[in-house]
Amino acid sequence: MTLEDISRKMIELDIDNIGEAVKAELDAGAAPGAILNALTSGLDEVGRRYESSEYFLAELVLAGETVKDALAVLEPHLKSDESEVKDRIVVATVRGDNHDIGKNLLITMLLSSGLEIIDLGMDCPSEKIVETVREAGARVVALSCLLTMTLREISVVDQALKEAGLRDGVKIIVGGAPLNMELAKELGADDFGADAIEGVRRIRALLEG
Amino acid sequence: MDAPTRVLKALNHEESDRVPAFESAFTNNTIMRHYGVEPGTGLKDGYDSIKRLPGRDRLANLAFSSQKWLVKVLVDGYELLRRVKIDIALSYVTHTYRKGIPGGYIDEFGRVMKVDSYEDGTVILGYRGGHFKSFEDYEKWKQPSPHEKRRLAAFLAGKQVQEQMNNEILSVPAIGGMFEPAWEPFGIEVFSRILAKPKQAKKVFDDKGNLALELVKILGENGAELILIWDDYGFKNGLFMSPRNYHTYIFPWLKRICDEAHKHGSKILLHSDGDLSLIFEDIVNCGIDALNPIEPTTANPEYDIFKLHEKYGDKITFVGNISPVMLATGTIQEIETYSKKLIRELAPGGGYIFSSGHSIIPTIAIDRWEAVMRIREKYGNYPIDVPN
Repeated sequence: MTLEDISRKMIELDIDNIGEAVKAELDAGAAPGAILNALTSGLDEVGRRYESSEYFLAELVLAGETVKDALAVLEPHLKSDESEVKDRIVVATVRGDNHDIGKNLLITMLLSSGLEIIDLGMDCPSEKIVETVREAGARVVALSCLLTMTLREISVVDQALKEAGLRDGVKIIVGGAPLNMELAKELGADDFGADAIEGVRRIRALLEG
Repeated sequence: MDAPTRVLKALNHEESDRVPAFESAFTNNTIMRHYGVEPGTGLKDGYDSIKRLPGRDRLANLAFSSQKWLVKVLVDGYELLRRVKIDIALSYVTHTYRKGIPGGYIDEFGRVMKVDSYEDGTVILGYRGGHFKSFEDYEKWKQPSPHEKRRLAAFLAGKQVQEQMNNEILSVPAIGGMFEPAWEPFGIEVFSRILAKPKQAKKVFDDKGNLALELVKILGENGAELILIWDDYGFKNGLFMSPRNYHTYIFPWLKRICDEAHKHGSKILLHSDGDLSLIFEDIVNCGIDALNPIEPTTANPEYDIFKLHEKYGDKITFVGNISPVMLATGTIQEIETYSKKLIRELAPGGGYIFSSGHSIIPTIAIDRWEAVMRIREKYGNYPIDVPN
């Protein structure tokens, strides 16, 4: 078993064997961080295949499940391996909306990114988002909104962060069926992710920018 | 001309008196009140009347098997559709109640459904996830049978209301397809694991295919002119699974279903959201008669009802597609312009049914709905003459 095998199993979505493969690598003395990088590299290839229509939503979701199984084995080792402070991002589905596929997919795609993700769940009020951003010092708020009926909640969150004096220190990125970049900006967001893969890329850019 | 004749003419690519209209769901109490129909006396009352009673699951299941009770549930919604000149109303043959949970219920497929209430009091039943955490859970679940009394009761209740309304609406039985009732009872995460195991996936899809096929046979034998199949194959960014998987698991069933319907003189209207570009031709080749809603807000600008109509307009009837986003947030002029374009370009010669690009939701204001009505009334009569 090698780190390339870990990446390959990730790319081939070998969910039945990924946990064992990670364990074998750890037993063989591989650094947990190197295994995480191998998973991330595999996940990047999954994203590329999704964007070129070789993979579809079900495969993308299965990739997320595969990462979860791998991290279940790897995570206890990572904690003792790591000391740096992670960037925090808050993820939520807006108030009035009870859809979580897009939100959960974004979270699983971010699992191996080294970020600390705070999942506030579905139907999330702006007050809770503001409070969490303040307490956690989050730099990005990622909002999912699938319903046309709840689009205005994005503006509500934008406004609530402004009123709390937090807006300058935090970026808002949004995604969901009725949205596009133009509408996202009109509603007060800084950015828009057309899908989970693009969302991850744009969140990274927001954190770097 | 009555609604059944008008709709069937459209499906046969013939012109009638006017372009027929359809909405897959009309959930907007404000508009309902505007047209003099008091909301909340249908499904919500039916649900409220049983939810606090002891033995509610047994009572609910009895209620769903009672044509008399189902007529009561349907009549207000049908009356609204009649008043706003929508020609097709649905009766719900599948997706029915199995077991109550706080705030909602688990349906017969294993989908967790909950009630959402909006500012104007509109109540919408929304999917909240899957009841099954594994394939083993699925195998323990009593699978819905096509022969349950509730199936025909729902169909006949719709037909009874249609008759009461002197055929001013066509009641169309709606059933689940092969894909949505397969994945939703698991939720997408668990389902992605099932899909990776071909034997398990085949079992789940085949169960749904068998149910849908048998229901189409029963409905066809009982005179259904048109049968709607709910089965979203796509979403905004594309397909849920690969085209190969649709070819393996879904299309053989869809073709058999269409063949069975046609054997009885029934037609198939498929409701499938999302960008279906990669499988559009395959869906058409399965033999469907009509497709709704040709979602206008996908990320793919090529998934365009006008372009698709050019290519497939002689093969199927298009049922769509004013964007709900435009209806909720666009200007009256945008709505009028797009509605006119739909009628001008798609309606001549039949083969077109006017509809939104999904459904009429609570945030659509009355003036926007009236703009749609105005254009339909003014330009929707045959022969079509809509100024450019």
